[in-house]
Amino acid sequence: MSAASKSDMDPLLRVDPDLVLPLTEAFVSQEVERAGIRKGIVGLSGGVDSAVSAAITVRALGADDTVLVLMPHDVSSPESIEHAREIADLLGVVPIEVPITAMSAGYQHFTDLDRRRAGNLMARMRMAVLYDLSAEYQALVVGTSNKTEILLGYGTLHGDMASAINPVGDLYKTQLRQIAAALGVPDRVLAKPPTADLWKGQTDEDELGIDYPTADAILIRLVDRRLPLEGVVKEGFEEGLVRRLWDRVRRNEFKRHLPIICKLSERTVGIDWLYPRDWGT
Amino acid sequence: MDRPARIGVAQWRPVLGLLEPNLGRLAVRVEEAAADECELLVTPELGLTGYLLRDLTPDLALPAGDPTLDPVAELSRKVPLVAGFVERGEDGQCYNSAGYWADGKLVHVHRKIYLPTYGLFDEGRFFARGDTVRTFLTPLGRLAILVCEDLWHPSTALLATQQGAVGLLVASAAPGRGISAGTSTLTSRTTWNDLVRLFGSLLGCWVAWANRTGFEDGIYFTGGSAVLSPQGDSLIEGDHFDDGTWVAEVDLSEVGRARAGSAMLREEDIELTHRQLGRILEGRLPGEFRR
Repeated sequence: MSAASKSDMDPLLRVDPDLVLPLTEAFVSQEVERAGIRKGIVGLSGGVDSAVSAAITVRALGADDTVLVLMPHDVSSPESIEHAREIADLLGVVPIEVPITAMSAGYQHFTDLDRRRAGNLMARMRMAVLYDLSAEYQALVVGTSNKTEILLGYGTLHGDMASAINPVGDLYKTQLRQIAAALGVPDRVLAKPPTADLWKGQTDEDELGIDYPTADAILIRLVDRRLPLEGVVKEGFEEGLVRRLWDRVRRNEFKRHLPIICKLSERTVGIDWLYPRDWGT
Repeated sequence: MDRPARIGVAQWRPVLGLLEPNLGRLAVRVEEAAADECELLVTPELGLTGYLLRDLTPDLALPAGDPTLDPVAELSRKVPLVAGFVERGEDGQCYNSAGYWADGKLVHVHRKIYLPTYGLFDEGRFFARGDTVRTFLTPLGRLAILVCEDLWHPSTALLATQQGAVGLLVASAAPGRGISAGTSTLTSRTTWNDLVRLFGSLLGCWVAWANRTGFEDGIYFTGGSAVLSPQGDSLIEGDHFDDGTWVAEVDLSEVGRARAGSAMLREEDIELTHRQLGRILEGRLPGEFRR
């Protein structure tokens, strides 16, 4: 791989935190204000993405108006919980802890589930907790999915992909890590392999079959630079990998849309009912 | 026109799809401008309605002389001003327009010509396009209004100056984008900075550029409204997030000096351009020199 490797970040993926942070902070504070409330709520996993989302929320709204929630399961790594507590502490927020083991076990088929179904169920349990607490605290759910995950569909629909606003969804994982470093996210959090932590030993890069710097270097060319597949291959990326990644982007398009509605009337929600979400605010 | 003039730009976050609160925002900025002895205030594209209107567009459309806009006319008694709104044309179509009001009267309306309909933009779906660039006479000389994307097309500034414009009033709602390769300024912003400086200085015009702030559906509008001298010097620049009013002193005699020192406008051969464009429009090959 000539154009990108783990040790050598692609120059295209460099971002300036001084440019990105004020913008994402203003986004969070204005969108929360638009909802007519003052608080934001973030689920903290102990990983980099949620650490950045939480830090941006604290910078935008203040620690007093940021609710951080830890939702460990018995299969979660103890390190994740420890890191999540540490991040909350660094941000000056006392987190709420809501274990989801009993909730998940309460689902009668849970013991029969393979790890993918169990993982998705856990992600949706966390979503249910966050949305419930968002009502209790009058706080907008701030998302943590990054652009790499969103494009590759590496997330659970109606689970970790669910949020009201997402300040980090247009940052590739490699870019988000630069923001995390600038925000002072501890090295041990930055250094560990990214994981959804839904089963023991799970890592994103094993599951995706590609490392993030390479995936991001390919995606930024296909998506942001609008290069054709052949153009990316010409830059030195392996053809099979480029095609497999792009196919994954296509197959996961459904995760980036609201349910499609069968059009019957003159104006149909999601098709030709074209109102901005921020209408009237 | 040999005097210094106080020219202002204002920016705000409009409430999306409601006229009343935005009239209030305009009033606040006009009061500030008046207190700063401003003689002309330029405000952003669709500042009276918000930008991302989509299906709300026809609901907000008003004939330029509609009494709903009387408060704008009233405010222009304090400071002559440019304000952006959805205009309902006599033909029933919606236009993305910016009007110039002075001394309680609507003097001029520019209908946005170039409606971006690509990438994140969808204006061509909701607006009809304007078809002329005109100038109008003011106490500060002959001026022209351009709305946002209009300035990205070199022909509009040229048409304005060929009709005698000495100042360009640019109203915009410019979305920020482009963070890759470690840039410290959004790439769209860099292009805008280049455009206002380049067209103003090439054509020897001062430029008053009002660009809105705030977010709509995740899109950030970059603010940073500015006034530039006919030499392309930035005289004042607004904040990139906050609302506000900024007034700069522009030496109007600078237009003459800029045009003496850099004679692009005088030497521009519009007959050649007209002739050659005529041939291109007739379907003859570009670059064909037969007369």
